[in-house]
Amino acid sequence: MREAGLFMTVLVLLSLVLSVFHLPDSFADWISYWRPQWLLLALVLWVQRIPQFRGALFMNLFAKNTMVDGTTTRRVLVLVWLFGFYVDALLGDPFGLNGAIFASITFYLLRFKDRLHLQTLSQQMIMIFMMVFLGEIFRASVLAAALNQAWDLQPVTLAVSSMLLWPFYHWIARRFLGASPRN
Amino acid sequence: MENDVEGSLLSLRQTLLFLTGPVYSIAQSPYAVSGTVSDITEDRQFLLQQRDQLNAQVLEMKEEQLRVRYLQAENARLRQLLGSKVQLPSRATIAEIIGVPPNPQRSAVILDKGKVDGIAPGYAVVDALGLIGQVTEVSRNISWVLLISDRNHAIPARINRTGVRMIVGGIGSHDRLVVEDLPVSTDLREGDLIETSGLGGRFPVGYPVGLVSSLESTQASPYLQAAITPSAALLKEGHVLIIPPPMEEKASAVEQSTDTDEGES
Repeated sequence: MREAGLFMTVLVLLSLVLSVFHLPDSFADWISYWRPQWLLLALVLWVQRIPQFRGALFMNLFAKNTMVDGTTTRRVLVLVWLFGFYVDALLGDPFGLNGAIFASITFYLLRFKDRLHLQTLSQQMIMIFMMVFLGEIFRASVLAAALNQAWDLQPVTLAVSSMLLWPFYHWIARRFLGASPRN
Repeated sequence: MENDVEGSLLSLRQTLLFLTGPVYSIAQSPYAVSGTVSDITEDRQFLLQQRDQLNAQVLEMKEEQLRVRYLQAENARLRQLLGSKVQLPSRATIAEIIGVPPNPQRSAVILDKGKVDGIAPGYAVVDALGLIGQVTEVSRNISWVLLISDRNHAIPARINRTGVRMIVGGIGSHDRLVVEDLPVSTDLREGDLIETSGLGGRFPVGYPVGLVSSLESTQASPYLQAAITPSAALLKEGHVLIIPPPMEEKASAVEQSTDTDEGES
């Protein structure tokens, strides 16, 4: 599906730009504590919609058949981990940190995809909150250990803002990709 | 073997850092556009006024520079008489801030100069008012600068008035630095200028770090609690100067002087 691929590419590029975009100096500091995790949201959307991507590139890289099987899962995990390396360089994080977070979330989403498919929007929002929260807790503990960064409320604030943005992503995905397919 | 792995990881990271350039340029583009728009719509009268002001300023600076040149030459002669090494004027590279990491806990900025411009990790970064930080990571045309306000950063400094040396550390707040481990008996007053001491060989000597804004000594601690307001505006936009560490400069100066010696003989 060509359009789906285009949509996802645009979404990922936009997420990359938004995740390093900074507000002017005149804005208060606390706003940056509420920035949504654009890349994680895009990742969740992508993994949820994987069965829909049936372009030539995707077929060669991941799946020969329409099912998401073990081989696909492994390849997707490697791909998101490699993408994590790029995000590490982008955000100046220790090497492998974002890859670990992305891969853990991807694994969870793929492993329990049948169960997650039955969730309502509000349940999905809670799931987003938990995933971002745990991911950020992991990030904060690594940064505290490696870079001496102080603990703060960011895991909570980032998870809340990401969660509140999820209905919008859900709506956008419905609009451009149609209803989420089962497989 | 371990070095090989580390080296290849480092080069991978540098390549990826190079590839992040476009993303930062796009993220910065709204500010670039607004700058261009205000350039275009700026009042002609205002621009002329500004030009006159700047011309006057340039003239003043030139006059000052003449005196500085004289003083530098004199300083070099006196240092030779004393038998100590000649300190050379630094060659600075102008760079523009192209990005800021989104995490408010990380005090860093990203500059548009890199390896191709001769920048290497450890170079000091200053603006017109004082020290900003040091280069930590470099790719082909991008470098990351750790600000002096970062919790991981510390500067060997001294009091301008008395010459007492100390370490000034960041605490993660952009308008406050702290003095670490200074005895209560130290002669330090509010409003004292703190400058780099040049010890450690990373920062050139004599760049302003900040002014002492508050002092506190308690019975409980044998150390002085002093807060320092940074001189430099630790902002997210604008231009800065990158200065090589004094050690490296001396090395390159020695190379140059041996080159000229050979040429003469």
